[in-house]
Amino acid sequence: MNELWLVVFGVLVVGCFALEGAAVGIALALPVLGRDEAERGQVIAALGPMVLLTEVWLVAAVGLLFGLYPRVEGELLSGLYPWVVLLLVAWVVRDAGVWFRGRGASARWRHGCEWMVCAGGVGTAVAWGLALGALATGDVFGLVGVVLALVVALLFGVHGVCVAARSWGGPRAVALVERPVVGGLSRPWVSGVLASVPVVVALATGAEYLMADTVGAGTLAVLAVFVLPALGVGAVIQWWGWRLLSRSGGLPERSRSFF
Amino acid sequence: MDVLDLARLQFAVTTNLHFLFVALTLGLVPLVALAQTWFVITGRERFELMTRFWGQVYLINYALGIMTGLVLEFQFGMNWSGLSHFAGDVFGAPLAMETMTAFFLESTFLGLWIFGWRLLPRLVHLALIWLVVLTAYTSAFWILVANSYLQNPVGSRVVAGRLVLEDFGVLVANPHLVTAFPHVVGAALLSAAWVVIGVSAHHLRRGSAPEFFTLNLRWGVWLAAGASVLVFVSGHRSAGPVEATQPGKFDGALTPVFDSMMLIGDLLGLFTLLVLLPMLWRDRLAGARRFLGALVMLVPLPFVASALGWVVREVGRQPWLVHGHLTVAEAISPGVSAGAVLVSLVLFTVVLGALAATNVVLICRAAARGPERVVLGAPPVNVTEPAIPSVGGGAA
Repeated sequence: MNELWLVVFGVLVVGCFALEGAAVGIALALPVLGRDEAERGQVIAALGPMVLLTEVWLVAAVGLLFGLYPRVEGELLSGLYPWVVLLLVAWVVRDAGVWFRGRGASARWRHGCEWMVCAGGVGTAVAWGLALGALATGDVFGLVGVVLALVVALLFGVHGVCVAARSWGGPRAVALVERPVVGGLSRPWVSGVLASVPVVVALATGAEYLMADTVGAGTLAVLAVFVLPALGVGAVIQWWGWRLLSRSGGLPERSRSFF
Repeated sequence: MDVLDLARLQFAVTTNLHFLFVALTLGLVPLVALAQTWFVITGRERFELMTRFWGQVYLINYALGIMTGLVLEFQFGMNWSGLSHFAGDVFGAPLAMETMTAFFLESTFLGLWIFGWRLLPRLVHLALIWLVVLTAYTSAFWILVANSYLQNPVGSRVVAGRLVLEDFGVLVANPHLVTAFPHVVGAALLSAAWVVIGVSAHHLRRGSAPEFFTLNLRWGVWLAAGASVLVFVSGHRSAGPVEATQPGKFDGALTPVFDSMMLIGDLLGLFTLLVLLPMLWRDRLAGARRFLGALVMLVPLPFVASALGWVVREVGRQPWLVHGHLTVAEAISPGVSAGAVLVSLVLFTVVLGALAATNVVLICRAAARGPERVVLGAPPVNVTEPAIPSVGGGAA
């Protein structure tokens, strides 16, 4: 029973890295994916609706962490304090850049928002790496964290470029991946699996610790009634949404109507 | 200030920002859905314009709800791990269900609604916004289940020094929830209604798009009237449960806060029912230009009343976090330093405060521009920049 719930939690965490990782990666690779203002505008216009579909995975994962493993939730978030703060601030800055760019008329405003998107993407990836490093070593500040920060940023960046190239057909992204060896490997599912590796390792290592803290049977029964159907419905709608987003080539000319 | 004061201040700042902006989001979304429904039924263009105009205001605002909500969600574990340690088995469940059954679906539906303009069949697109409404209110429900549990911890008992869930039915039938949920919904609808009234009044006073804003003013006043009744009835019904479980909650320092909230609610309600509603007859209200200027000034009042209501409910719970079981002081995370909380308090306040201010400016600007310059759902013809050439296939 506890193993089953760990799998459910794992699905959300991996979803967070594989899907939201792409959105973070596109944000941090913005200067590469869009060389001028018009190109960056198109990238952000396609990123906008995608972010709404991806960031829910983090919110849901943390929500279920609280629901399933409340004491671990308290220990983790208070123990990783500086990196959680960095993650939140970077996250909010990236969201604000995506959301507010289309609302201003001046080039300065748009440029400022583009900076926020990129800096927020970098900050989010780095915060994940630093947090994973702290989990691995037990030291909040350490060299392992710095190395992992670079690794996560690289994995997310590559993943973002692959998704932008293969799902939207973004010209800069396509140019980046259309190389002899890289081309065949630049499938979003390959880069998504790679982007999830760090967190899968963390989950596997911490499995016993998590399961030992599983809430009581009464709470689990309630969660099963509500959470499992919601996850099923959500997964189907997300799948439909992703197909819609990618089938229509990111559809920037339509979604720019808001973003 | 010690670590406890700082953590409490941090929670108060982020919750209040969240609460105020989410109130507008919650209140506006049914209006957007109704306008779109009317458009689908009648095919009249002004209802589509109404959907897009308020939809855009709603969307600008939605982002702030996510940003503040994300910070709030993490703050429980960061600063109040004592709460998850002692009450996580009960308190964590409604929060987990909020993220899974509500927010997870809500944002997905919303992303597809934004993306789906002129792409999806009309009825599918309409269904999406109603699903956003449904999940948004489900979200408010679960959050109030969690909050009501802190006010009046029912359906659980202490086993080996920790609260465990005993009866889920009792948890969701909490008398504090049964009265607070309609009260908060009423406050959200009232806030949105007054934004609609204020924006319409502003445009009518200047004579811009008079037909469109006369229609909006009418919708706003009817919504305000309904919401006022809901706020009034649910507010008075909540006195009983509060007296029964938290006697003396409204005494002392909170009395003026409580009285101010009631005064604002009652006066706005009476004014709407006795003055504004009769003035809708033959659109007298839309023509009363000087009067309309005064209406614009009233827009902040429902938001002020909402913030006061939050103070009464949450400050009135002190010193308890889980009433009768766990104090706020006991719940603070061990090992978190005052310095760490201070730095994060400053960061969150500066970043979220700046974004909140920007959000208000952007909403005012979008609302002041009038319906002809709405970009949400605009036909692709309006786009001037060249589209990305399709390279490499769309399959993923």
